[in-house]
Amino acid sequence: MGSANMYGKTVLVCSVLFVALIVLALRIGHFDMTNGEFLDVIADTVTNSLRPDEELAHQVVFDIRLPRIMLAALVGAGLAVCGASLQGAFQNPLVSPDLLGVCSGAGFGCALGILLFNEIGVPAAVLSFIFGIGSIVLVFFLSGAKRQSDMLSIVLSGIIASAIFTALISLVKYVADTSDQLPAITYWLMGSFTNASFSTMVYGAVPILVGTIMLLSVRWKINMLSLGDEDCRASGADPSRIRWTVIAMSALCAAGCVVESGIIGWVGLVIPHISRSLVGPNHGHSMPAACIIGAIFMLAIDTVARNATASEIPVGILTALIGAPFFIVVYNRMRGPSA
Amino acid sequence: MTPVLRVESLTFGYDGGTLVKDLTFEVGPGEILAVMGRNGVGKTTLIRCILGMKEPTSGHCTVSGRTVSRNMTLDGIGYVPQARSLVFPYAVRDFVMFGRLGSGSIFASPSDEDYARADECLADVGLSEFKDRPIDRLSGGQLQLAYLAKALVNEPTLLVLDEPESHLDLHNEMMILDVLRHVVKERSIACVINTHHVNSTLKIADSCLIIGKDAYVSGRPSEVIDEDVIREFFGVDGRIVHYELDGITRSEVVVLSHTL
Repeated sequence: MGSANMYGKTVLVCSVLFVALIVLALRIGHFDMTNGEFLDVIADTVTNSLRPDEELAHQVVFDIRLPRIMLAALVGAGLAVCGASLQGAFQNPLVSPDLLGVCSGAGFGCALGILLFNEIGVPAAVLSFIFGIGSIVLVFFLSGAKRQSDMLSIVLSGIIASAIFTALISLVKYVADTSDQLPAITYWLMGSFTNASFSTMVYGAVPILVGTIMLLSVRWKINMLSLGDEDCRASGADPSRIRWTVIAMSALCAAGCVVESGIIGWVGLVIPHISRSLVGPNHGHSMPAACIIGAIFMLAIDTVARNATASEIPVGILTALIGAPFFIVVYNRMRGPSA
Repeated sequence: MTPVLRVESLTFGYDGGTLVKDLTFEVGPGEILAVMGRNGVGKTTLIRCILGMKEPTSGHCTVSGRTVSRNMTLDGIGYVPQARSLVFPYAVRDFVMFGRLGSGSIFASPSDEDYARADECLADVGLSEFKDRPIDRLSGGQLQLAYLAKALVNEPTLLVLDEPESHLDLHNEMMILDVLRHVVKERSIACVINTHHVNSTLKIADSCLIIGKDAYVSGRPSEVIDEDVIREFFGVDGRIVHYELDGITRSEVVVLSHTL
């Protein structure tokens, strides 16, 4: 009961924090406006009585900041839920979405798109998605999963797939034009929400939403999977079916995240740990909590990324710089009582 | 009385070789069968056949009249593996409740009844006061009891245990077996225990199945176990002591030396 109470309180506090952060992120940025102007723009937009002198502020808040905020929250939530699901499914709290090579695969697809089409547009997004899913198909066949679902062979296959796609990314960088393509690929791979807009969001948002909702729906079965295959089967569930559902949905979600924002590390690893330390290890509670904490974390990081300096810091750099030390603190706290 | 578990002419092995040939036995409701024998004779493989995790070479097992097939859903069977520490230290109550979530849709979430059943089973094994405790804070004996409660939560007609007393001290070993005996009799569950702890298990077993390299014996322990059997099936020289416990004749093996 204690953990259920804690879960309720955590979700409530995080929800309030999330809404407050959205308002803050809408309010602050390089385009300067007063609190009064900001509130006027919001009120006039809601009541559909926008004045001509408010047009620019309206565009900044609703066409530039809002899609970016939505995307950051979506990617943060998606990566956190992916990480939490995979950690449960593989009974290993050190697993992250990149384990199965999805991020490297999707990263290669997008780098190839930039190389072939000279821009990060629809073709690059499609290629990114195809290779992200392709990596999971590769893992499926490498691990001989048609025969049986052996956890170690899946993990090893993921490492192989990741290594292959990382090498292919290096190859694309090697042959890319050093004046424009190489910087574009490099910057995109660092992870960023700079290009967020409502028109491009759909390519990533749909798979992220579908993957996240599906993963949250099977969260109670992930608990069973985390007890081991034999125990899971003895309780009447099919561990192989659950694991491949988790893998496929994580791949869908992670590929969507990479398509939209490049490779952003650490979120899928760190956030599930924070969530578990707050609401306990039960995936029925820790996964929804990870979802909202991931959204808050990514939104906070992106708000810092676009405001801290005159030119934007790639989000992937910040998540690593903040995520890694934070993880050490969380890990030490987790280890504390039993040490 | 109609048997819950019926094993008929079961033959199984690995890689073309045969471990056990033509094994036949039954376990009725409220009956405890101890499966014994030396390492590698096929005790665990027998358990796996009963659970549908391995296909026998020939013969079959039926549980409550239903023939077991490979990877079938284990309705009506509660399985207690050797207790092991878990990566995620779930609350004991959650851990036991998870046993209810196996059947049904992949999207199923727990109901109040699932939690109520978990509470009942925790009370049955005497773990109610520990229900909110993280499972990694339980002692070895308590952890094994939590596994037992989890196996009971689906109200099985057959309970299968794989070496439940391994790694436990004598006190915890007897505690597990006493709780097990109480639960099995109270709920009229058929029970199969795979064990190496011959004497402690014989204190609660109604029948035994001793598997050897090319043969097996089965029946009431006081009728089946003699000095020749323990020499042939356990590879030791020993004496058999029979004694009365709760009005039942029990047997105990006193080991003198191993045979070459």
